[in-house]
Amino acid sequence: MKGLFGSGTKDFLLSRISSLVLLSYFLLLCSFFYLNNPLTFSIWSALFDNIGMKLFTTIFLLTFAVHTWIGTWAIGSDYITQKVVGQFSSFLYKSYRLFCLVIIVTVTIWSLLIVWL
Amino acid sequence: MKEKDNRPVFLNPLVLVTNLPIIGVSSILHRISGFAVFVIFLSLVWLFDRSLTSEDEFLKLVQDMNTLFLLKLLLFFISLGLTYHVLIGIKKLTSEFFGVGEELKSGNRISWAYNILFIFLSLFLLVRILF
Repeated sequence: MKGLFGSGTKDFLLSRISSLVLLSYFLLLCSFFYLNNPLTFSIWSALFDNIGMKLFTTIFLLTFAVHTWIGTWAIGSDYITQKVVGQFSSFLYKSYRLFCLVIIVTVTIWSLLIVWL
Repeated sequence: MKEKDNRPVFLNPLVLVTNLPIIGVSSILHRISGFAVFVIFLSLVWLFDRSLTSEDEFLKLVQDMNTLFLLKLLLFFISLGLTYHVLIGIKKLTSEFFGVGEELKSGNRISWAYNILFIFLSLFLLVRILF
């Protein structure tokens, strides 16, 4: 199998490595909310004015794209098959992948615009 | 591209789930929680957008979070899904890379531990977000 990113092994490793990036971003935000409670606008906007945070958020978004593209493939290719959903499986599968792609692209571009503009 | 797909197909998921050890149930819930968070993730981006637009918008958002029950419910379910996906994700990573809980017995114990931890965390989230 060619996989999504070259080979199945690459897909496996990419989804695991990306999960570590997503986990560190998640923990960073959780501890930020915990340490700055109640949160004010000045503290919150200062966090995202920081160039390091802008870069980390960008990495987070690209990683999010890779992680969810692999994750939604794993689910879709397991359940949206001819054996499970019948003769329109190919059409359904393609629509499903398009749906996932639209979410990923919208999340990534919209967030990048928020962070960098 | 066309190669034979040898992966097993289970036609009755309910029968499968009821006979599944906690490891397998956690694995399926890991998928469901991940997909659910993925589908509603755009609402988080929308909140993120509002929070950084201006101070007025930020304060309005804080007020909405304190008063709109549907928004509270949305945040509650997103944080539940994220928490579950992250917890079982950590469990899977330690299992795959360090061999933690690879046997049925140890795997069952560890899965129970993570699920019980999740129940405590979700009670905490319930109190913090919904009340």
